Amino acid sequence: MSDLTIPSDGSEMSDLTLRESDVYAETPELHERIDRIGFWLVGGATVMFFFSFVFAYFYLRSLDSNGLWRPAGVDPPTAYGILIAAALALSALAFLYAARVARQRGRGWGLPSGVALLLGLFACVAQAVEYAHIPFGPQSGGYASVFFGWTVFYVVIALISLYRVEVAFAAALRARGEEDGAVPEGLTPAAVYWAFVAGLGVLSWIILYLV
Amino acid sequence: MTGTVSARPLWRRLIGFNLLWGIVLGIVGFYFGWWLGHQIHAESLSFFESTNQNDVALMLGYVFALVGFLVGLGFLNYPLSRMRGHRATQAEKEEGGVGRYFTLCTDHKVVGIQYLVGIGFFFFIGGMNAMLIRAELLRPSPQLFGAGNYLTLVGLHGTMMMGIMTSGILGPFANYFLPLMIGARRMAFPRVESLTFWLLMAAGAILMTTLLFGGFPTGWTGYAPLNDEANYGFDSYIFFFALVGLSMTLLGVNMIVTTITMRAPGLTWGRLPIFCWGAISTALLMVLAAPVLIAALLMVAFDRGVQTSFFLSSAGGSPYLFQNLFWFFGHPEVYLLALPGFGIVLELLPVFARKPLWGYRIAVAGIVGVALLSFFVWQHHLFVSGLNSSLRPFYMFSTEAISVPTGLIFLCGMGTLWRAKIRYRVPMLFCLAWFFNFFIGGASGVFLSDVPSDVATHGSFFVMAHFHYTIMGGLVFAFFAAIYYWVPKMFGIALNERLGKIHFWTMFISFNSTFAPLFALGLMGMPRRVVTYPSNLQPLNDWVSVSAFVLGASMLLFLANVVYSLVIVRKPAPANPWDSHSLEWQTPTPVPLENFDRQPVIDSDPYDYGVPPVPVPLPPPAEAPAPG
Repeated sequence: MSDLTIPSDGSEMSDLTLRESDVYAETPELHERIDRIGFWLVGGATVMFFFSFVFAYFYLRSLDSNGLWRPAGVDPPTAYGILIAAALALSALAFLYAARVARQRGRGWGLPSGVALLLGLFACVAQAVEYAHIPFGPQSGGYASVFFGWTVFYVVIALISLYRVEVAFAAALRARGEEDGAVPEGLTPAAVYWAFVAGLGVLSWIILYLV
Repeated sequence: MTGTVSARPLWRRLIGFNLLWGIVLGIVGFYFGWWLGHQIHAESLSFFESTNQNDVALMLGYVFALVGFLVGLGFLNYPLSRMRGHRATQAEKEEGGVGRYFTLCTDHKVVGIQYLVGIGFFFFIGGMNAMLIRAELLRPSPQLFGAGNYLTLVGLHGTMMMGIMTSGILGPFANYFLPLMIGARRMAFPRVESLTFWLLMAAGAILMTTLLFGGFPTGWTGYAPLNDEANYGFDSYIFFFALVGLSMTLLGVNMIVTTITMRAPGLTWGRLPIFCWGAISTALLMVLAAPVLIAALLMVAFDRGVQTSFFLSSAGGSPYLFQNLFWFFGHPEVYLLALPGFGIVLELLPVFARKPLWGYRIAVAGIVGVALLSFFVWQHHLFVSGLNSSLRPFYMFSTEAISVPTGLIFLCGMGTLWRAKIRYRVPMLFCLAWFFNFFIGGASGVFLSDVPSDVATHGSFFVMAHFHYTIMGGLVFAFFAAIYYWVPKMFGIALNERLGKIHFWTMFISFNSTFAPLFALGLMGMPRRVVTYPSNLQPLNDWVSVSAFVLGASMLLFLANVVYSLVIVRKPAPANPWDSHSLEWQTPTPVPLENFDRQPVIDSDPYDYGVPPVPVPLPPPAEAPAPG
């Protein structure tokens, strides 16, 4: 690049002064901060997305149009709900542990990341299997609509979120054998976000199965 | 991040990840999804047998078309690389030349120009729809399209404008200039930045395909239960707005993170250019409001595709659910369109008034106040829908309260202009017109926030006049102010001043001549979205139509100016033609790939025009040498 073209003597800028700072390099801390704030904002967007389903749940429930909010027999299998919520919670804990280990030791995050990935995928598959065994269909009233809409899009968002879990796991595999494998950037914010998404999954279970 | 100019021949450059392959794979993806949808239709979802359309096939077609489009552009390369354990990188390997405008590019300046051209294209289409609407309304009875096609035309115009133009200022100008104004080298998420643009282009193309599937009868609001019952064409609307919502959300996240994390040293929040405040306030609305729209549209897609009943009261749902969710997004959407305009106008006023921005902190409070209040007003759109009447006073007062922070912004603008030596250049003319237009739009909005007068004017041309004054009078005038102001930086060439002034006056007069009479038409009972009207309203309608055609012609004047200045004359602009103090004008033109060779350090306020420079203390006198 050419030399700085901004006049450092301020000849064209009486009020705004530019001067050379020591460093213009981007630090890992900056990247970590970008990831952290980015994940919080995406978390906010995710909350607003599911807020729509929460709103739909309570709005339709309170209206109970034609008495078809939740006809008799529209009950999802509780065992599946518990299984999915537990798998999500354990997956989040495993990934948080992976991030902690990586931060403290600079390695050893591979196994817990892999466990987190498997548990997360298991939760998604279990949700799909539940659809095959559920005693009602999408057309079975207001609750059924909310149940299918909410859970389907939860699985979609969970799979997208698991991308970062997979990235951490793949980075660990690639770093095998290295004395000090490079910890992937943004691992801690990614773990916090996955815990957040898993938390939403547990909240979904509470509302859809228990309330 | 170093740029290299490719020396490969054209045919070789066409092979790879670019728009051409995006389109090819998009078409292939569409037909694959269409085929897949029909397989599902035939084998699993038997309840489709009673209908004559397969929405699942069309939806899957759009989904796979989008996937193919993004694969062709190269958006999957980086995620797949990360999934194979490779390290994170901040930018793609950029190529120089025109080719980078047709692919995934991580240079925010390229993305800004991509947005400018792409949005301009869809703005032109939306504008042409408006011309056709006004042509139809030259006569009181249907003459060109008929009622159904007219409704589709109105819906296309409204949806295109409300969807695409949401990014009308943030897309081109914030993407290009926000990093420059805060002294950053890039956006926080450069690939996401590019993705937001291509999602928007895919959305626009999908909306256009509605014409192949019979259009949609709902207008831009897509109300239930019509949205559940509409034919194929409504699926285009769903995917259009869902993609626009996704693009907005990602754009908002990127803007906020960039502003928070990448400001130059010394650029405190109190020194942040007011345009950046407008951009991040808009971004916050995008992040929090657009996901609600996406969710609402996905519910519609489920109702249509898998027979849920979110919005069917006969099956346990409620159409009011859609109205609430839509307007929870829809009213902030209005401010998504207006807030960037506030930012642009307040950014430009000090430059042309040669005075500091009066009440900087008040202006910031006004912008943030409008953004926050906009979440508490949405039910004023439902005053006549039969909602619980005890809710009306709250939403009436909250809507009226929003005029307070808006008034603060006006106050700051007027304070800046007070006793100023104004330079009446083209960008400034558009800014001044913005105040005039937005005042009329805002004042008429007070009538619509008031329950009794809203009941009388709801669904009439009065409402249409109001929101065109706020959105076109606000956003589009600010958009053109920004174009005239920043084109010399973006292209190194200024637009012709004389042609610009002709464009301005033609547009300003014809705009007011078009939309002011609509207030009268509305008060005389002319409803929106209806192709027929009483014959006594024809003279006024004809006046409006002719004015609208002149307004359309004023856009051609602008295009002529662009061609004349940027293609024919190509006279280089001065480095800082407006004598602006803002940081973006302190870099060379064209702006280097990484914006600044060295990191700028900010130690003054952004709008200190006319303020005498702080005297630099002289160094202490050197000691006199000892005699002898």
